[in-house]
Amino acid sequence: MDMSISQDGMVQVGQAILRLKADIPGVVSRVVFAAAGISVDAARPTVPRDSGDAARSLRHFLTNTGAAVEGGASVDYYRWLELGGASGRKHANKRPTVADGRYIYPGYLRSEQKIQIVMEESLSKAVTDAGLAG
Amino acid sequence: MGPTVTLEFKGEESDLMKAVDRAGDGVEQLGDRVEKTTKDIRGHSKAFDAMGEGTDKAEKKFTGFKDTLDGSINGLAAFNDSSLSMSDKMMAMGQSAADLSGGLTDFLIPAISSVVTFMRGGLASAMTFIAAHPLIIALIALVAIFVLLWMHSQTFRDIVIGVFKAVGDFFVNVFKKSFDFVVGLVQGYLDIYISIGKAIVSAFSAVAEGIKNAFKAAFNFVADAWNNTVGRLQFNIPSWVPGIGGNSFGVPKMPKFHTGINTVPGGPGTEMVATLQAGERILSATENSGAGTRIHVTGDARSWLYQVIKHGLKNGDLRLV
Repeated sequence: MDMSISQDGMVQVGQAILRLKADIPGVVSRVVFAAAGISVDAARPTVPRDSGDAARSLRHFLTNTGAAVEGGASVDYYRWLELGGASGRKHANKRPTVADGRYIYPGYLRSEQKIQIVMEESLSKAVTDAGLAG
Repeated sequence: MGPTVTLEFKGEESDLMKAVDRAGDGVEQLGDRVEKTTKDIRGHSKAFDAMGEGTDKAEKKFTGFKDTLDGSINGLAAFNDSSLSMSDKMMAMGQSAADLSGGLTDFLIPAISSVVTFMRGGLASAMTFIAAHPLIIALIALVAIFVLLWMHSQTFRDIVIGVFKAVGDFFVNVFKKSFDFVVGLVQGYLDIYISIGKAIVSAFSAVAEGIKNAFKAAFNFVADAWNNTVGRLQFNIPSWVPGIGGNSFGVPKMPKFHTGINTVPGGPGTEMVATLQAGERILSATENSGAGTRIHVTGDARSWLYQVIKHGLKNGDLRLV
């Protein structure tokens, strides 16, 4: 009489979990970089265009802890454009201060759903690639 | 380079690693529990096998007794056939017993042969034979003794009914012993079966708990994945920005899987406020007191996690907001 309880794939699940764990740094890195890029794409069209320098100054890049969106690296007035304040000779050019910023963060907020989809797809892909979608 | 405004996306993987570890631990625990359960069941399975073998042996012995009895009676009937010589009668008795005993001819024929030897060689040989063969063979010897007495003693023949009764009592005693053995065996079988049943319920409860933990771990893994990546998005404004420098904005944490509760704490009858979700079921204290969970474990574990993650991502329970 052979009685047993067997569960197929337990070892494979354990191995897949390990693979998933090994993939996590890459997944996180890709997700945050993608999130930054999506935010840039959303923010750029909203930046006022005269020369186009301010809009073009938006970029995203990887950092030691994730990714970042940056604006104004080569455009001195970008900070003023984004956050407001006073600029120019004797601070004559006043612009209302907006704590959250006008372009980058709102661009991110508008992109949350798209970022969520990327996050979801990245997680699903990682889970699948790890072998948990057998 | 002029002053910049930076939106930083922090991807913190350590907590996510821990979350995956928890999922892995859940799966590992599930695997361990399944393995332990399987070992437990296999251990009981060996007990089943042993009992089955014991039953087979007992049944064989029992059948042997019965066949021997039937054969002996038929042999005794053959003994009354006046057309047969004594040897023929004895061999007929033995053969009938052998025929009825089916697979027991291996010991019945030698037994009869020994009986014949006994009849030729005397009581000492018979006793040696009986001593060499346990109870079931003693039955044949008793019949042989009966035959011997029948042949040599008119008195014996006169009291044959009484002898038959004596033989009958012997059979009864033998059978009673056999029945007791079988009854004891069956009782032992039932006891083990009951214990196995309890072990199975316990084991499956452990498996069910493992599955539940693994599921929850998977859900929380997804939740943590969100909380610890996008959920950790930080909008940092450099500290030099007048007025708002140093401020940051985060994304709200996603609530984790609703875990529920097995038993409301507090004294009997104590009422309290509860937060419920659609689809949940409320049991009374009485209904909850003896409630058990039965889970039939089938399928590929990988699909469980996949389905959980897929389900969690696709339905509203795991909204990534």
